Amino acid sequence: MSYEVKMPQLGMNQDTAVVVAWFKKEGDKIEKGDPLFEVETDKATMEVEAQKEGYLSKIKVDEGSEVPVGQLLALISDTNEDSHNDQTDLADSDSFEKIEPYAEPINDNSIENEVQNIGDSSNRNELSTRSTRNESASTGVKVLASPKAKLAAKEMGFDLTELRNAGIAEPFHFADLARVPQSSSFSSIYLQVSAKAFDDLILKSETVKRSLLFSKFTSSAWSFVFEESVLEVIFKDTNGESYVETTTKEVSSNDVANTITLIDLCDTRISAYETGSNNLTLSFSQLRNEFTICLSFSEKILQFSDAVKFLNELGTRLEDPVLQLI
Amino acid sequence: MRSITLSQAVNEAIAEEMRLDSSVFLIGEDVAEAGTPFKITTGLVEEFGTERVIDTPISEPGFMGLAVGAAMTGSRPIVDIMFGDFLFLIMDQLCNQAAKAHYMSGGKLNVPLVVRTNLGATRRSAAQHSQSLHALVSHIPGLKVAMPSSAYEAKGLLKTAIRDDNPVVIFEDKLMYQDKADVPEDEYLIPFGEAAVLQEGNQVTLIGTSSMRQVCEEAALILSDEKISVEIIDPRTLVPLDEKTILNSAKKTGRVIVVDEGHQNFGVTAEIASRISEKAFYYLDAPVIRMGAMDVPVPFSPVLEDLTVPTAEKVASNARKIVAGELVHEL
Repeated sequence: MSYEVKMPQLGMNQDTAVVVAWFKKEGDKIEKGDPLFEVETDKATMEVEAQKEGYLSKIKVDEGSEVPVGQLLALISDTNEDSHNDQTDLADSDSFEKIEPYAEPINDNSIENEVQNIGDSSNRNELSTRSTRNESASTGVKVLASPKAKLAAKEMGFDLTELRNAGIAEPFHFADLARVPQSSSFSSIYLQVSAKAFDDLILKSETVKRSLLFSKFTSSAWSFVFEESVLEVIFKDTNGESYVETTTKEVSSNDVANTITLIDLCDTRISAYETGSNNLTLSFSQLRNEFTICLSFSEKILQFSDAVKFLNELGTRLEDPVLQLI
Repeated sequence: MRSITLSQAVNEAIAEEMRLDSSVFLIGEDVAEAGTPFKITTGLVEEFGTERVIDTPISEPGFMGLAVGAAMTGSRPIVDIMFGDFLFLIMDQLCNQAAKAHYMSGGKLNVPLVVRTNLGATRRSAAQHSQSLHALVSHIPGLKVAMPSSAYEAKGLLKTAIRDDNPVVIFEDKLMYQDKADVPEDEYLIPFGEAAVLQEGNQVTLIGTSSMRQVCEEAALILSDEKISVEIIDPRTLVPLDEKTILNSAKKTGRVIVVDEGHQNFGVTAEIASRISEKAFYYLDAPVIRMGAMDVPVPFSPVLEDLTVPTAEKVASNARKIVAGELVHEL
């Protein structure tokens, strides 16, 4: 559990202040009332005391920085492990890829316990044993989050420890899920498929737009593979403008919609567009009679095997547009 | 539409029902010539006579027992308990007899009586005339409990209560007797078990009973300046409780504050908060916050008395915190 240390308001009309010096360094034990840092405003310089005891787990603002009142300066955590263990372990991202697929219902405790297990590598392959769970629970790495945030994280296949690693204070709320830093662990897969039948279709119809057909094929392939899961298709043109093209069904407030961004590069000589984000992105490019389709995705959101199924299905439909009608 | 005081609304409800049904009568201390200390029943004795508007000695257990017997044998008494605090005097007649007679007689007896009483602090009436004891009777199966939050509700709920074949306890806030609200001239009833959604919003739900509805509305005004979207619900009756409306709102906003003037410990706020926690848990983005009266005898000192009840500022401050994801109670 972490507590936030924020820049205090020291004067009536003061908006910012300078952190002159930190009296403690990361990892130091702190007692309530210990001088924590020195702050300078336009009127005075004074020491600020710690309001909580614990360990200074993270300093987020360097000495000499001028920051607004209320800004997060540091985190104090209950245990010293909070600041070190889980972060170093998580750098090893392979060990992190064991989140259940989001379509599968999980026992409510399991997410929490998986999260707890991450800090302890010896437990990684023994998630199913009750005793292991209890041991790891007692190490005090439990993530605190609101029920709504936990449920949403579970549905998204998202691990709440990422928020902790990002230095966001617990308990986490639903809105904190949007504060996740962009992860660089993404994958992309390519598919090459004949464009002949598809081009014929465009030529014959004259009025239909290629981008619209791409969107329709994408959402049908998605519905075919994932059935109930909702997909929102956003079309992004090469000027960088995006607009919502279509969704597989009415998005009700209870559904967590997946979003996919389509990029049509067929009129350019570029062969693929891979994004480094967690978002699903599909780029379409064309060389003579062949499409190259690139799907980039995060394996935390979409499993590799599902990505393969989906892209194969899309390829089959592009190759033989009659399938789309069935 | 015309605007009348809560006290006039209650008077109208009693008079209308007495005109409609000759088995309805009013009984209590100072209800006839004096018209009660709050001047609510003024004029009724002139219209209906002392046979149907009956002044009693200072003997709550006696006239309450009399009313229970009358109700069992075909009358529909309205019992005036001058201060809610005097409910303690009629506990056996109300909770052991009236509440249980229908069940224990295998449905042969009905007890169609209404206990009209009041609640509310900050009238400088000290600890024995300022309590809000509605949680006490809500706990007893067999009693219905109504909590009007304005003149409109006071009239509609009281008329429904008089027509109900079960014992009903209705609590008016003694500080609201002179508060005016729009009340139709045409007859209307407010059904039990239907909460009112007074304002729709999507960030936080404020549930306020009786006078705490006003407190919630003032809090919502403060919060609207800060662009916080507030939903306000008045349950109107505690038994039966409109769980559906409350849960739907909790699921929508994910954040709820329950405000009630009874003592916070083991109170109405606790009951509503725990139902939300049990049945809407996975939709909640913050702990359900209870705001009741401080758990002390109501002080006579005005300065201290004012500190014991929830205020709009306190409600707004808690709402602000939970919307921002801050803690109201430390971990």
